[in-house]
Amino acid sequence: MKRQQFVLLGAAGIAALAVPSYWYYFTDADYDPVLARPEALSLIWEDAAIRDIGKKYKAMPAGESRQRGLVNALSTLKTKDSKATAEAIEQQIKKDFEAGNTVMVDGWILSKTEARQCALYSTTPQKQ
Amino acid sequence: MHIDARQLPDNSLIEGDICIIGTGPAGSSIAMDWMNTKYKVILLESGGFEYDDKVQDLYKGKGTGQKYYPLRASRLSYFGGTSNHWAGMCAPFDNIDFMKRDWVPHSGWPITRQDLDPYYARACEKLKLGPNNFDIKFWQKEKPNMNPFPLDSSIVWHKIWQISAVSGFAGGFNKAYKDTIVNARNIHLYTYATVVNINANDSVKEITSVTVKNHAGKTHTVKAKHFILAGGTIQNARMLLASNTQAPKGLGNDNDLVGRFFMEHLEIDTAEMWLLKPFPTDLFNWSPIWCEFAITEKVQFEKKITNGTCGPMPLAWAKNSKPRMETWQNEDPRKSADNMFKNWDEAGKLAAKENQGAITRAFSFQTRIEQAPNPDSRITIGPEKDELGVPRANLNWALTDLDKRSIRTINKIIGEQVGRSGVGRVRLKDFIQDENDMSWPEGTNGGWHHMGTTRMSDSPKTGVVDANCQAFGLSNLYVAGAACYATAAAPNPTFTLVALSLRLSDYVKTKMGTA
Repeated sequence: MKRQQFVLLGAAGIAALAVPSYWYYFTDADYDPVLARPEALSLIWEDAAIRDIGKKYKAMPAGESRQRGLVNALSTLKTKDSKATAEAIEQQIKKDFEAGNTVMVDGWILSKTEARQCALYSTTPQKQ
Repeated sequence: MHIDARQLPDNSLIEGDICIIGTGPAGSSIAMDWMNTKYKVILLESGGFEYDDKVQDLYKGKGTGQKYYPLRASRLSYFGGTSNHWAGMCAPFDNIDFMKRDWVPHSGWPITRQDLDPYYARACEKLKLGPNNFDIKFWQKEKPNMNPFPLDSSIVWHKIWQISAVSGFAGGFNKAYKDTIVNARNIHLYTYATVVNINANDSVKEITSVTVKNHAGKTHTVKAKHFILAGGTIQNARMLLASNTQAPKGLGNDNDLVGRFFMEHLEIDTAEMWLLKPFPTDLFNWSPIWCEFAITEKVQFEKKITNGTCGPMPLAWAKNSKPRMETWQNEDPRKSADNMFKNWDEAGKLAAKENQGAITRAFSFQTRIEQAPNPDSRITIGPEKDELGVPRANLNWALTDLDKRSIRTINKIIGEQVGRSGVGRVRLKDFIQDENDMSWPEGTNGGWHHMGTTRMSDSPKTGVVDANCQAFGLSNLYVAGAACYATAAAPNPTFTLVALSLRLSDYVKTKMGTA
């Protein structure tokens, strides 16, 4: 293979990898959108606020900024269906507060789990 | 009996068995406790029965350190004292408030909560409260819809206040008790009788008399067997410091403690609480009771914080209202009060417009927290004298890092509990988010709760008065009121100062042989 073609083919390969990664995670059959839906917070915050908190959490020194890491961390709560997963997340949020597993994001005292949810949500495409 | 001291012949001699200086809740409660005894009670009031600018001018003074209200405007000098301004909030101190806490320097009272309990019961009567019961379970049976938040009560509990029917809104002690005191056979109330000096015997071990003056140019002498200073925390310290012809440092001040440890309650908006859905409760509706979230003793020990509580106010109102430290800056207390209430009214209108009738789910926390005792927070007297020749009192208000750390921690704890309960989420305001930030915002309010300048202790090396509120080294001088507090505790001081004053009254009765 000539060098130039290799480079071009290599570039195409890189381009393939550069396809938005959310496409990979969020279209994966295994992925449950409930993981990125902070139910309780959505009762007091609109979409923009959840995203904003998510970005701020990711930017924190101890925050988790990588999408893969967020999905993996939240996927441990995944169960057989969305409703059960949502309940598992709710229980984990309560345990977080009980155990002091909380973070302060922009002054908000949040469960680490729901902060992760906000962070993951902030990586999803915005609704037009 | 009432006598206007301006009408007396100059250089009159007034004699009685007990002389009480001040007619606020402390002085008036003690006076009424001596009604119908065989003893002649001399009750001295600097002002008259109405506000008087000339008398109020005697309260002018300078402030340094943390921004404070004008001293002229933060208390009232007429019959009933500052109860004429009082909001009426009554709650007892907690057990921990009397304890020595190793993380709170200068903490620890020489008495316990149990020593005061019988007097809280009697204070309820003077302050026209309901039953002497501040347990939420009692009030849940008494009134409908007193639903507490489902918080972990081993961490955060619901502290209850009762609202007195003798508050300033109802005319204070002035309206409630003027006739009672004036008509009492053995109480001789002298208005326009400002104490300008406390006179001791040659060995400065006993008080022989006090000198009083007024703007009519009259000077009188009051003699009694026992003298009780009940003029308020700032004025009590001022009088001791200013009475320095026989004791150069001031009476009772051999150890340079008089005036020190001035304490306030910090009352600041600290956080927002957003409920996930409306929570049905009347606990926070002010009448007949009020409620705030408090931190348990166990957690205060663990986290090494001072005692404080958070009371929720509708956020729409709170964010539209200015801090009281901003609105209460007119030297005329009436104008300051007008400014504050006008701002609250405006905030209410803006809030109503914003809410448009919707059920409130967003609240602001106002945290009331004890200021840790700080010897550099103090009342001193300066070279400037008032119109009656008494050196003016000046205040240096000084806070500590413990105060800041405590206020942050309390709000964080409550935020975690609100989250755990599933009821809502809490957001801390900017000024308490950073653990390393020890600064205070401009809107750091005090509650007009003046405490600590003649603190109680078991030794003259660490206090000005003993466990009975008797001045160390002076056999017949006592201090009544919140000036005796060793620590500030979480709730408003009036209920406890009346209880403490009634306890002092019993002690003096014992000394007089009339218990």
